[in-house]
Amino acid sequence: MQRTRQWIHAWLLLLPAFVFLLAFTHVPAITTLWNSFWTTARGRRPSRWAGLDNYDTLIADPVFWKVLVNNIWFAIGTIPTSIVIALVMAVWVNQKLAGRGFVRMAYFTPTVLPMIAVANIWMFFYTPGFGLIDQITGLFGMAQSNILGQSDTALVGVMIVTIWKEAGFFMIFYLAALQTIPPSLIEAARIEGAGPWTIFRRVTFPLLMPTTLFVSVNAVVNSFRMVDHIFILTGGGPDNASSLLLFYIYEVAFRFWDTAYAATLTVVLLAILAALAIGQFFFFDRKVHYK
Amino acid sequence: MDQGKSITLQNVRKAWGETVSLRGIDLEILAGQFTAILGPSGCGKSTSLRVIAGLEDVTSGRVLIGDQDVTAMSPAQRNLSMVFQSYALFPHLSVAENIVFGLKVARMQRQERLARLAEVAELLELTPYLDRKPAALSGGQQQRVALGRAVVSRRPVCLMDEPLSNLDARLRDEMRREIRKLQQALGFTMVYVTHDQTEAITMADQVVLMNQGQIEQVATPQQIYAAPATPFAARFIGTPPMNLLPPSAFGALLDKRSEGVQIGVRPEVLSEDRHGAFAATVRSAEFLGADTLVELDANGAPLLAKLAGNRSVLPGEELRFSVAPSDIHVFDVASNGRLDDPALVARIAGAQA
Ligand SMILES: Nc1ncnc2c1ncn2[C@@H]1O[C@H](COP(=O)(O)OP(=O)(O)O)[C@@H](O)[C@H]1O
Ligand SMILES: [Mg+2]
Repeated sequence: MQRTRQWIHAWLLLLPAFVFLLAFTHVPAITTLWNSFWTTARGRRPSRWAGLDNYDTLIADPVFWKVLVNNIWFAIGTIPTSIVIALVMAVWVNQKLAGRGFVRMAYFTPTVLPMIAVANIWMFFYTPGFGLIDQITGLFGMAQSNILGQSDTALVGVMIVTIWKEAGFFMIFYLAALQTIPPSLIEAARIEGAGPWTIFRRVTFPLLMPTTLFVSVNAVVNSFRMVDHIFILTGGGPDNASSLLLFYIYEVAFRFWDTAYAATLTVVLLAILAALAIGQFFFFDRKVHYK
Repeated sequence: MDQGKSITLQNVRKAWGETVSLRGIDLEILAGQFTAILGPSGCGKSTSLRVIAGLEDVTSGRVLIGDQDVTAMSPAQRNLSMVFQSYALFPHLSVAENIVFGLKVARMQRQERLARLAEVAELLELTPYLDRKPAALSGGQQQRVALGRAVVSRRPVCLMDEPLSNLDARLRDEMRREIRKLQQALGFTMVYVTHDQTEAITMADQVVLMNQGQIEQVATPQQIYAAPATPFAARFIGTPPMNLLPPSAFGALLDKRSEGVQIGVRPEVLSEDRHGAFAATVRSAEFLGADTLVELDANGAPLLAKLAGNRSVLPGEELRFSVAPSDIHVFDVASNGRLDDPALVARIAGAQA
């Protein structure tokens, strides 16, 4: 009797969160999966059962493969770099240096800015001829550049903006974690003869592993999720050179209005993200010391 | 085994802006001895230890270890070990890895490292726990790991900052003996910080008594008890603390000439004597089993006496005491120091005089 009452209370308390989670996460995900097995309704032609036809189209679609490869390069190019920069900045501003508060704030600013604003700032750097980069290189007599306009450099240009934005965000997590490490641990290591590098490698870094796991899961998810700046910087061009998976999904859904194919692409994106997140937890689990 | 090295502090001052923590410390810590730094909370014990370790810079003054001036050296260069109050074990490393951390940093050969580890683990009875993480150990076991990490490198100096304060009373007694044994067996110089007089008195060869950033007295535990150098030293060592009385407490025994002194008498040396010269009135009594603690009024000054056995006394009763001359301590209020005044002592001792 008592137990049943407790169960009922528990479920009642969970209910509101559960309803919203269902309505906005799980139901749409299942609907998407369902839609990917149907054709897109056009004009008077209603939607009909398509089976795996959409997936056949996907495998044969060169643009899909192009944006997928782009996205993998984008992830490889941005994740390790932004994490390393975040860690270095955090260790740096965790020291007792003059103007520490100012430096922390300066590093964190990119995180506070909306991605669209960040992209606009970087447009000002990248613009051929007038941009900051060209004005500086111009002083040394170098030729104009068009980083975002060329297919071999456009993606790199987008990646640099992403790193600039993400590093400050990750730094905050590292900074918070660094401050939970008791100073006596570092002192004990110093007494035992360890230099700064050994202390970092054998004490600080291992104790930051849970943060590194958290940050890298976030970074991976973000690398498939952040596309705002592409709208401003390149529009995915030239010739899809800087297009990413989610940006392509947006184009298919809301420019070409092929909702069924967009649903198919979304299912693939979901599967990739789920696999990565689960894989990371298993990969890190043995190396992470949780307190 | 490296023999212990002596440690010398020369006029060491340490200040953080306005806060002055050490006000000019001169101290000689003997090689191979167990030295306890004792004092109330906030008196600068930890700061002294951290200055020796090199974890804090001195504001002025010099620190020497052996014959070497180490004032400007890093903790690593000073070749010492330290046990922290919180133990400061690395939570992500196993017990074995914690213990050999320093040996690994020093790139000692694997074979020798393992031999040292086995020896220390045996000594501290840690062998069954070598693969565990510190979080899976009891407080006493964590304490042993911290000790193991400190002694495995066989450094000539070992520093400890209140290492037993996180243990329960029974374990504390046990570890006290164990640490003392370890120090005597290995022969290193021990500097042991504590606020607990029992720890200092039972373990140390030499006690450094500190108060408000200054040294009150440096002596053996017996000397500090038998001849405290200052009123502070007199009150800090011994339970219940020594009675410090104004001359007026002795009524007619002392006259105007003895103004400006304080007279110290320990509660346990007051013995009842019908012909004693020193009289006081009972206020209350507390039976403690082996003895009775009596609160008295000596001409307006509060006085504590510890009487042997179950001596039943009544409030209002007058007791007379005699005190051996060697048990009477005279302090000069102006200089805050000990006075040698046999004439004054003789008048108080009364009965014998
Ligand atoms: N890092 C610090 N900054 C400012 N004041 C400090 C610092 N460390 C210690 N003090 C001050 O120095 C005095 C002595 O401290 P400490 O040596 O820790 O005393 P204890 O004898 O209890 O170990 C205290 O008044 C304390 O407030
Ligand atoms: Mg302290």
